[in-house]
Amino acid sequence: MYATVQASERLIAASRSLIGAAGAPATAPGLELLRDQVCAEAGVWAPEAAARALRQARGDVGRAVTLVRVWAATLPAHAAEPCDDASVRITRRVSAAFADIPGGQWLGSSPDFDSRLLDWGEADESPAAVLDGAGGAANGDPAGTGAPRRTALGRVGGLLRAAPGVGVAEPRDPGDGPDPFDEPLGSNPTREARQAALARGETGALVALANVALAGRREAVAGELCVGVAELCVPHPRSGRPVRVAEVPVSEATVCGDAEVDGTAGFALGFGISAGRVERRALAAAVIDATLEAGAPVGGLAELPALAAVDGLATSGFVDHLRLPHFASFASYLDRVRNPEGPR
Amino acid sequence: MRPPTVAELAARHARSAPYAYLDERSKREVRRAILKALCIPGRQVPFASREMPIARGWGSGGLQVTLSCVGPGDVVKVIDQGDDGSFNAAAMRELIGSSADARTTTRTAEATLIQSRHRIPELPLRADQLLILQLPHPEPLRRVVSDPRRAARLHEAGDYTAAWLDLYDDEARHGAPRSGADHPVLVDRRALASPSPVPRHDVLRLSDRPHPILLGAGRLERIVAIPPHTDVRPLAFDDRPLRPEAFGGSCSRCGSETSYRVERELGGGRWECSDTDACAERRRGREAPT
Repeated sequence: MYATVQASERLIAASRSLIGAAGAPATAPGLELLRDQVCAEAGVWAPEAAARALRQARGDVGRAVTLVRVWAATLPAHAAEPCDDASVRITRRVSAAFADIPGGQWLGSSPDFDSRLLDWGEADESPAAVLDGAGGAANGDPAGTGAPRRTALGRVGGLLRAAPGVGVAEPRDPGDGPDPFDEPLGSNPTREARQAALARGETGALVALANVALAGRREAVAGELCVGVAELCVPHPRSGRPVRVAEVPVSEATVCGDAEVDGTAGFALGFGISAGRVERRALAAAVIDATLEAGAPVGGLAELPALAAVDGLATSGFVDHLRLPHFASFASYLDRVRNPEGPR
Repeated sequence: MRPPTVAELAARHARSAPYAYLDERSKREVRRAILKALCIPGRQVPFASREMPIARGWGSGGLQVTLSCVGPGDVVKVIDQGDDGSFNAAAMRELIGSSADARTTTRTAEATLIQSRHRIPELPLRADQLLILQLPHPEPLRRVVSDPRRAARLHEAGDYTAAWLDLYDDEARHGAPRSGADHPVLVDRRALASPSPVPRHDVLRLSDRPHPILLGAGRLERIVAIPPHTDVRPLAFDDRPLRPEAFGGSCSRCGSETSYRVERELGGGRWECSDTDACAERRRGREAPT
């Protein structure tokens, strides 16, 4: 429960009113967050394609992600301009570290005040009451709450770094992260490449890894969790001027984890970001990043195996491949078992 | 005849979909990795694996290598466990053939490109044929060195102590390595590599071949190459050579006693060649009047 909103029924009511404020969803009703998740895991913001893929995959998320990514892999790729913080409209921002955080807490549409009891009363034909964030990419502030731009808020990381006597581990140089479309991860990924791998990580794997990482940490607190709508620009092919081509909902989280800084207790800040409004993805990615920034393994896994474990298409494809015939290779192992010593 | 230019190929192709499925940028990425891999035999060369219309772990790496090499004059054969009829092999053969406008075959001798999973074709291949293997685990040290970053450093130093110790442990405790298929090999006496999960029968047939072998790992984004006439030997102590699989009988179809055979049913006593074309070829040879 967030301290600043604990006592305010009015705020809770306002948060609830945002749920479903988007009106009739354009695609699969009641499945907006699932559609967001498919887009995030595919690394492609294409809600219509995701909804279509979910239908064609009969709801198998892994398969839907594959369909979207295979489709996108055949399209030409253009590098976007770096996303400008000033263009990011915040729809929700909470800090679990400080009640009074500079820039303020913005509850937005929170899933936390809705009942977890299954509602049998909803009419079949009405769209299900779903948590549709602030109601679609193009609708950043439906309730007119005057939520700020990202630049107006500052970041918790800066706050901690500025505080006297608080050691914060130097973040690893982000490096010039390759687009995973262009380059493989390599044996020593930059932090940006790590972020790219986590951002499109498989949700269940991210959450599982974050949990085993948390079990081995002393401290991990969500410094801030933000949901907003980012504008994406590409350079115009003739003039070179940035042209806005998309508005993408994003979730980002900063997790303050424990770390040893200059021989004393301090913090390592982990960052997690994901397309769409599945906040859990950003939080889990931030926990994994904080753990790696602290120089610790993620539940016993070094960085590369950990990143490999969240590569959903690779992991599900490999598990699925077990149903392919293995007659020749299995016979080889069977021979080992049946003739252990061998004719020497 | 002069080989066709890219523009001529594109014009002849006359379709909006790229020739051989992959766009040219992706093919260039794969081809660069192939060339680099050929220059450093047995080494793992990273490449940006594309999402393919088959699942990762199902031959997506082999498929990308094949699609980056195939031309309209090629004849393509795809086998899984030695069998052309396996559904995954058939699906890839259809995709390659149709998208690259190339003829497909099940006859080893007719093929110019052979993509295979878990087997080396048994009929001898010529210098003008290219063998492409699907590679699930490119890192031969993965069982003894858990961190890929450390494994990469050990490869740089040529330090395979961990692999030798593992082998020694197996020899001391079991009297033989425990590996079934996928026994690690030393390529060009330098680089430890995974031959892909081919049986030991095939591991022993990898050395000094007249054609290149390209191994593609799509899931783990690596390409490994064995150039023609390269020395490839299994990791083994001098006095403990790698033993091929033993079989309980000759092939019930072609009668071969030297092929790699698989028992149809555990303990059933009916053994069959796993390389279906080699088996058929032997039967054809027997039936043909001499």
